[in-house]
Amino acid sequence: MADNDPDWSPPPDETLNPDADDDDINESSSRPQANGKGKQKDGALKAWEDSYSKSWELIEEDADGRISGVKELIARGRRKRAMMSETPLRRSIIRHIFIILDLSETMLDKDFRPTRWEVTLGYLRTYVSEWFDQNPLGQMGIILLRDRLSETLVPMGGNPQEIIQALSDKRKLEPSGEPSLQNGLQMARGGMAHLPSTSSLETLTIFSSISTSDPDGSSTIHTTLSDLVNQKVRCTIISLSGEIKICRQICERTGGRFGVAIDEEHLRELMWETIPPPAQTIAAPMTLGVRNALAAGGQGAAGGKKPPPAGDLMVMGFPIRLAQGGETLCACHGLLKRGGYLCPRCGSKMCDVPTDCEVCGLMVVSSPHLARSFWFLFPVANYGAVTIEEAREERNLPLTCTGCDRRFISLEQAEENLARSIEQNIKIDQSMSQTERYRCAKCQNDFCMDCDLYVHHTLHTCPGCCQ
Amino acid sequence: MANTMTQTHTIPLYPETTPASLLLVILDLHPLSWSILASAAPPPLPADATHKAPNTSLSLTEFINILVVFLNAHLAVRWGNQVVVYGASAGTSKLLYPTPPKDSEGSKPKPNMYAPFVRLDKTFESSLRGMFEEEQERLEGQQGKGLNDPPAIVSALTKALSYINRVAPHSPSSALTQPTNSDLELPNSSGADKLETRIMVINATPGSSSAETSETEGPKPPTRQSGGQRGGYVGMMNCVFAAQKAKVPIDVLTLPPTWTGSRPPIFLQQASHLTEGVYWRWNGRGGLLQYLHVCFDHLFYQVKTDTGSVDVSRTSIPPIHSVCCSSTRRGRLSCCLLLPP
Ligand SMILES: [Zn+2]
Ligand SMILES: [Zn+2]
Ligand SMILES: [Zn+2]
Ligand SMILES: [Zn+2]
Repeated sequence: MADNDPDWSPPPDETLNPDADDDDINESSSRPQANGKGKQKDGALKAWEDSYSKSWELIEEDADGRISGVKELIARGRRKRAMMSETPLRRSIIRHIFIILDLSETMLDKDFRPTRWEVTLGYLRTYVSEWFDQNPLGQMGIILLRDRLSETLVPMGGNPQEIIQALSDKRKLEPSGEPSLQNGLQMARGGMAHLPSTSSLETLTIFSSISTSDPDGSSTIHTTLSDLVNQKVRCTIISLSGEIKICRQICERTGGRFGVAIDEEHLRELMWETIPPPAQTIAAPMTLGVRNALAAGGQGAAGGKKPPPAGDLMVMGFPIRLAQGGETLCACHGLLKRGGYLCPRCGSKMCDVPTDCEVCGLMVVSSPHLARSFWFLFPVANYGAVTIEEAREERNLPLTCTGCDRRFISLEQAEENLARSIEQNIKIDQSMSQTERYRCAKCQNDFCMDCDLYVHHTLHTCPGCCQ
Repeated sequence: MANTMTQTHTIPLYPETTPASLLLVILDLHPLSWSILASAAPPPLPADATHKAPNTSLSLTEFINILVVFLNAHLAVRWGNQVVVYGASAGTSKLLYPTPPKDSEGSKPKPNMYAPFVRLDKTFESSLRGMFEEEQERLEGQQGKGLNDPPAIVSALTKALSYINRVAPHSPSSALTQPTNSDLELPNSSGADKLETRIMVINATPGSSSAETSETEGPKPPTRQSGGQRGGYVGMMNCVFAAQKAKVPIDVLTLPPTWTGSRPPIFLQQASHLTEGVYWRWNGRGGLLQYLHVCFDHLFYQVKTDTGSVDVSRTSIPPIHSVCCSSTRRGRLSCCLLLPP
């Protein structure tokens, strides 16, 4: 597939050749005009356009000079969380993801300031630490696309520091040439081929170019696509330029998401959407594999024809940590290194955990890693907003926040604030508390908004409930 | 450990001034643990160890005196230093200092503002003793029902972390603020006004006794076996991860000395290990104040050495020091112990 395809015409507002076949990368205008295929009615917005409103446009100062838009944002977050935790979900806490980063010359475009390249690298570094924070048992690798080649910057691994360090060395990340999406996806697929289907396999592509220059030959990007579908690799692509047909197709067929970033903040939003573990029901054949593995590796093998245990279980091993003694060969890289961990099943040495044992395929995690994902299992109960009426009826209303011991505003103050906002016709949000108190449904302690956010986003333990 | 080595070149030495520091102390006030500490009859030292300080018991009053001196010294060393103290008793935890504002006071007290060289006032000691006595009464009132509850260290930790989050938020909540380029570039940049924050847990409750002897007819210490601690392992680990994220080390001083035959508090040991804090077990032979100063407080300050001023907590340990380190795997502790008091 050539990048200089005659079907593609550079001015973004021109309609596209309606006969362009699927091999072509089409770019439609990024404005809500009907595109050449007439798939959409005139005036209809693309999904990514109407769902997104610029968050800073919400921000406005109220009479006190306080920024009310921020409150709006917080309220939105609260509602979102309330909705999320009501529905029971199975989340795949074991994820493997390849980040495929387009480093073509288009990354030097200045429509994102200072450049697409700077913005993306900056976001990626925070993305990586946030991702590992929420997916402690996950592993990540990074693939770069430039000069029509793909290269592995960081192989699949569980060490965020290593990845962030690699992403900080800008000299090694100079954009050049054109990207080949096919090569990148193929490499990601190859890098995950050995992984068990029990974990969630994903790619996140940040694609800046409007075309992909893939190698000539018998296999096209469509062959790659069907390989990805067969291997159940979920592909998400974020385009920095515009709608690209093949990208949308890849995402839709593999169960991922496609998005076009309008601006820096939208790019961040799209990236951050991929951080929480994907919620899904795991198909039966997948769990069967786990049970078989358990039966083979666990007591089942010795115990004869016992049925495999009910429920979905993961086989994991806790490694034996080696002292910093002499150098031995590791199974993962084949290098002589000090220290490391031993696989509890087969005894081969690995450099870092969490990882999958290169020899026997056992997932090896350290217990702190496992403990890090406990909060999925024991989530903190939601805090409800305490209304003025409720607070009035209470006799022993606590004076201070149970978390940070900050003093709450008095009820008189709360009423005054309420009266003022009614006067100024400010919409009152029901999920925000007028008394600035948020009560834990479990332990009935009151918290301030800062603590509410902190407890639910970071701490994952209610200071009242653990008393 | 390998990461102490790598830290040396990633974290620059401090400029001329050390930032002000916030020390959050969590004091185990479990009545039972303290009665054991105060009453335990120490075994006499072997004859060949006469040059050593004798084994002693420790009462809460003695310890509070030591703690007050230590905290006052901390406040006096640098203008802007702050101290927050939580008490953790059987099943509950409470902020003891700065004292929560009374009803009559203004609605927006700023307890974390200090004039230079202000000392902990009398309210600290009285509220500390107050909580201790309150707890004793409460537990006696329940006919010792709650007495076997382990101290609510996890709860106190969550409160301390919430406090830190409010006073010195490390990273703005990601959902709310868009990152400016500056905070992306330099995640470690510590502005001059940034507080150095540490949490220090003073534990008085022994881990499960290693020699399960029924010789002592007295009260059994509150057990801290798996999940015995309120909030349990999950809660403790959640606190550890939150502390890691905020880059707040958790230092642990555990008081029950080795000669009581008690096990170390494993969860706390792990917490200090994972947050790169200091773990230290009292040897039961006095000298607590010196150890507190040397072990814990200097971590905030620069220490003069031959090579100029170096922040000990952030540098690698010279090999000579790690040789002396027998009780812990962490080299840093041994370094602290060798410094002149
Ligand atoms: Zn290796
Ligand atoms: Zn193995
Ligand atoms: Zn609070
Ligand atoms: Zn609660």
